[in-house]
Amino acid sequence: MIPVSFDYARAGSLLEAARLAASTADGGVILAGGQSLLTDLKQRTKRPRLVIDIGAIPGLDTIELGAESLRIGAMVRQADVAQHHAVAQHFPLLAEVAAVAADPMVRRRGTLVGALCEADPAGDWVAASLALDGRVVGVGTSGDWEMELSNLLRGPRQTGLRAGDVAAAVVFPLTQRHRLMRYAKVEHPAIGWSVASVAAVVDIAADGRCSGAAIAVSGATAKPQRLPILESELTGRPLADQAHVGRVVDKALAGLTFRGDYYASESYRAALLAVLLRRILADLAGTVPENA
Amino acid sequence: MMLAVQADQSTITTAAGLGAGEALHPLLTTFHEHHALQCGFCTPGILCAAADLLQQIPNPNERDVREGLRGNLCRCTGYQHIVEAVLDASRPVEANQSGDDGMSDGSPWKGRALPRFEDARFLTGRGRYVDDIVLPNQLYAVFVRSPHPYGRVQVNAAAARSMPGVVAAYTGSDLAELSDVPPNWVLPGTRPRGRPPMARASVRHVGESVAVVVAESLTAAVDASEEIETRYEALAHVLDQRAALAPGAPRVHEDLPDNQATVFRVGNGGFDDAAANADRTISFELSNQRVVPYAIEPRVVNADFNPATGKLTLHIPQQIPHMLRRMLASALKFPEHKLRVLSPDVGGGFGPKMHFYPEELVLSHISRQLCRPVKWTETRRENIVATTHGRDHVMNIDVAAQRDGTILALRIKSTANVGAYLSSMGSGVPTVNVALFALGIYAIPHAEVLIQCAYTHTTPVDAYRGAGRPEAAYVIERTIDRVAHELGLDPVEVRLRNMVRPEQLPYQQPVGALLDSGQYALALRDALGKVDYTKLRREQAEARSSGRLLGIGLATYTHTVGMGMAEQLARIGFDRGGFESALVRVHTDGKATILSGSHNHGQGHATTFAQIAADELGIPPQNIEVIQGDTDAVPMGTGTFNSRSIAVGGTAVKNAAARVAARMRRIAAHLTQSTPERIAFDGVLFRVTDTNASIPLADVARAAWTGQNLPRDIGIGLEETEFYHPTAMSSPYGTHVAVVEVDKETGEVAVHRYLALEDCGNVVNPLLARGQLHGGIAQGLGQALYEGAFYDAHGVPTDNPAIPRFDTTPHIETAFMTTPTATNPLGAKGIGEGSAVGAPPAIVNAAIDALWHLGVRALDMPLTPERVFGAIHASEGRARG
Repeated sequence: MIPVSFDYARAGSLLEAARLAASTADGGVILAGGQSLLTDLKQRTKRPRLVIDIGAIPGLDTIELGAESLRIGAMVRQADVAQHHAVAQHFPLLAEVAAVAADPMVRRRGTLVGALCEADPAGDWVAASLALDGRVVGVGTSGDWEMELSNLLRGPRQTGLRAGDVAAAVVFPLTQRHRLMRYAKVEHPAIGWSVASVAAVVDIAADGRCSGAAIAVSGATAKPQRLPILESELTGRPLADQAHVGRVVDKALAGLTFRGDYYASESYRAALLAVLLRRILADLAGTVPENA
Repeated sequence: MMLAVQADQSTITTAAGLGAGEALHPLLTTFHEHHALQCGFCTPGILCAAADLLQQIPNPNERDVREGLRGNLCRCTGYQHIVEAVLDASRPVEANQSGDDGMSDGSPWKGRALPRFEDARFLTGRGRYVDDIVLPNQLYAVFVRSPHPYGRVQVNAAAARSMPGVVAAYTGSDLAELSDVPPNWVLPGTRPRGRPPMARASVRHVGESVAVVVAESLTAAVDASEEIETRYEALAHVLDQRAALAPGAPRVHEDLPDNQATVFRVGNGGFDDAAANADRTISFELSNQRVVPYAIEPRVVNADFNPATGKLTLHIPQQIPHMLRRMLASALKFPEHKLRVLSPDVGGGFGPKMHFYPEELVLSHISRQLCRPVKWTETRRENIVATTHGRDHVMNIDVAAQRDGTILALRIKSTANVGAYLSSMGSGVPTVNVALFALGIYAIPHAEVLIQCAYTHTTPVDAYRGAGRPEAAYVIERTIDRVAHELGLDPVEVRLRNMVRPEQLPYQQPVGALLDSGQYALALRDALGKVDYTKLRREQAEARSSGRLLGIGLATYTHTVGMGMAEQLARIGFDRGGFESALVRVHTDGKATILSGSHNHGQGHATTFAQIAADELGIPPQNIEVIQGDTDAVPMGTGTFNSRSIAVGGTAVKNAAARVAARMRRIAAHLTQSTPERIAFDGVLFRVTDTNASIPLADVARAAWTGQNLPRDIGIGLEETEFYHPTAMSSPYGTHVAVVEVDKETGEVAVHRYLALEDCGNVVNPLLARGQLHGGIAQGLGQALYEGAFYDAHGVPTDNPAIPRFDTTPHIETAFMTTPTATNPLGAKGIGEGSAVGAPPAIVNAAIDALWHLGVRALDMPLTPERVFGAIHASEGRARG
């Protein structure tokens, strides 16, 4: 298919991109990696007047490890996230996601920040970034902005971004580093999107008790989200107590809304997500060194 | 995917670039040697992705390759040869000495695993598909299609006509003079309702066209297509065939109150008597779901009417070009001799590219009106809703058996969904092609098959790889396993007990099939030995004791191929010939051309037909060019379907080439004052065996084509045309073994092992035959595990029919047995469809084998995790209750 005709602008700075977007009647669209946008354009599900390419803006393609956080720029490709030493060292969860999200060609072009801004409920990066307490920072016509990821994700493919808001980076606080982390995913056989995903970050004390947990899900649920009930119920209890884990997983999922389609219904996704949660927590419990 | 402007300042390497410069990329060599491409349509993309993969991971393992290339789809190869080629390219060149070098060693060319002669153009991005063809004054067409499964429609094209660049726009009422597209196979008793060229007042399936816009550019046509105004009055629709046949169902065609398209019954009866005397009677139901064939190249039409010559040229990817010419000429009321169908490189056929579609009729008509070429390239979404689907049966089975597994009688009642209209072979595929072959390789004394076909508000259903035979094999192979499980017997034992024995062949089954040749028990035992069946059963028991669910599934299938005999086709209402044509010409330089009425869309005829001719002519196959797909050049042909190319088309080549060879010997004898019996040919020189006289091939050919110094009465030339008309069909068969593991908690089915042992008679080219097996297995596996049309309640099929990918297709083991058939001079059966016939029952039988002890009985394709999960939980619920 052929997109509707649109203008193309290559922004020299984030502020320029923000001003271009704000001055376009329909707000335009931001082109970063383009792996969702170009499909939308081809299928005419997006019909923008203006496509604003942020690919040439200097400084967006870097990963910076600071004293308090890891910052991943808006043009950092998903494949590059997987390769980066600071990511591998502090946030192996992201490297794990980078191995299973979409396919290698999409990962070579697609960006992590772009995936977050797509807010696809079946995305991989959203679950991992939620579990890692990610914040998205950016530039708007009225200055810099910062948003908790949970605020950014408003609904299926809906974000809290306003016209003229351009994301610059995602920032992960280092408070999460050195914790145990895992990603588990069941994918749709046609398109590789998540049918159910779990990103789990836990601390396990020397006696095997969970001393802190951050657990996020996507794919199965109506929107990507943390599971606060599960996190609090796990804390203070031995992670290897599978009966307890099973009970609190069921409790945590009881109130959630699930997605369903021809391939996997709501009730199946709920059951599948419970299995993934139990397995990932058992796996994490098993990774505690025996002499710890 | 990226915008071209994003590549500003970048270096772009295409497949053509991999072959440029000082050294060929090793992938080009290994893809060729491993037969890693068939239709070639997806090849450039896969090559580039693989070249990039090897840069990232210089020494990948199989998993790396499957993961790394998972974003590329291929529908032909089953991926395995591609994986092997990429792995091979990562190794030092010295290690690659496995392939056939193509040199003559005096042995027959048939049977040699020659890499394909036609590969080079596909490997360098120079394949020429219809969408690559842009003609002078080219116009572009875009169809507007119904989003509703049933309703009345009003269309207004006025606004679209006034859009910039638009040349014309047509609605159904503008095309009122065009007749419906008639089916080509009309079973006696059928009530045919052909596809309208364009919806007139009613739409009857999602995807039926309601308007077409023709413009100077594709962009203008797409833009204007959005300006077509439509008003629909939705009517109650019916999607399921059994619902359609129920009293009071919405009518698909207003004049057909019961929605029945046709009904077909075969067999010798006797089920009730047999059941009364049987130890056990077992009844169950299964479905063979509707699938989307999903060739990677969609349909394309470029219709080009030339008012100066009065000729209409249709560029179209087509499996049966001559048949299309006849059908289109007749529907268009256009002189057949002025209509030329050109089918160049075709990006995957699989059945749907042999049918006659409304778009061909409409665009030919429009080109005639506008006197300009009009091109339409189907979108993927259109491919899903407007190109024919496959399968779609719901079957009830009753089987009467003795305690020892002997089957006394079988009764099958099926309802099949033909869609909203009868496509070309729509009445024959779900009836004759299923019922006649429903007994597989078994000697079951009493059998009845009843098949009722219903119209529904869905896309028409027609032939798809196997075309009815997969449905037949699926039901009989599932039945055999069902009997085994119910009686507590090993599925191997039940198979051996009921198989037709070699001394019974040829064997006429009570449903009509004639099995010509086969060593069924030997093939089964050979396959079981290769997988060490006893050990597998032991592993299964051990796994089960530790809570893991392993299953072993068998399919010992057959299917009849090589259509066929005209008298029989006439009896079943199939308006086609069963013959195939070949013209073989040796040129003045001693090289040869074959013009063949078959059609290649990845099978490799340019190589296999050359091998067949080479053995007759004594000319190396590299010096023989195969031409197909041009109705002006090729003698009247029938085309490619029903795994008939080698058996029928290849035999035509063999016979024509043999006659040319005889002419060459006669001329050589004349020129050497000898006799033909004393002439031997070594590929260069004709020698007289008992003297030292000899004459070069080129001299013989020159004499033939100048007419100077020829034997009296022989006439000019080295050229013979054969219209080979088979007197019998043949039945390739095989044994497939699948080993699966089911995750009890998630319902996921993982294929741990897959072995296919095939006996298709003599094999012309084992390398290419293996590629056919892989591709068919991938399609069969896709149907078993992933694929479906998945209509929603609004009559809309899914966008994502889930065709297998690199990483969702397992490693496949293959083996061949050879039992030559006496039904044709090559002793060859067919290879194109068999593996797609065998794979679905093997995999589903394996899954049920893993779950039977839990109480799972019913499990339908595709085995999505949710279905399997649901079946496990339903049986656990029953066990608790």
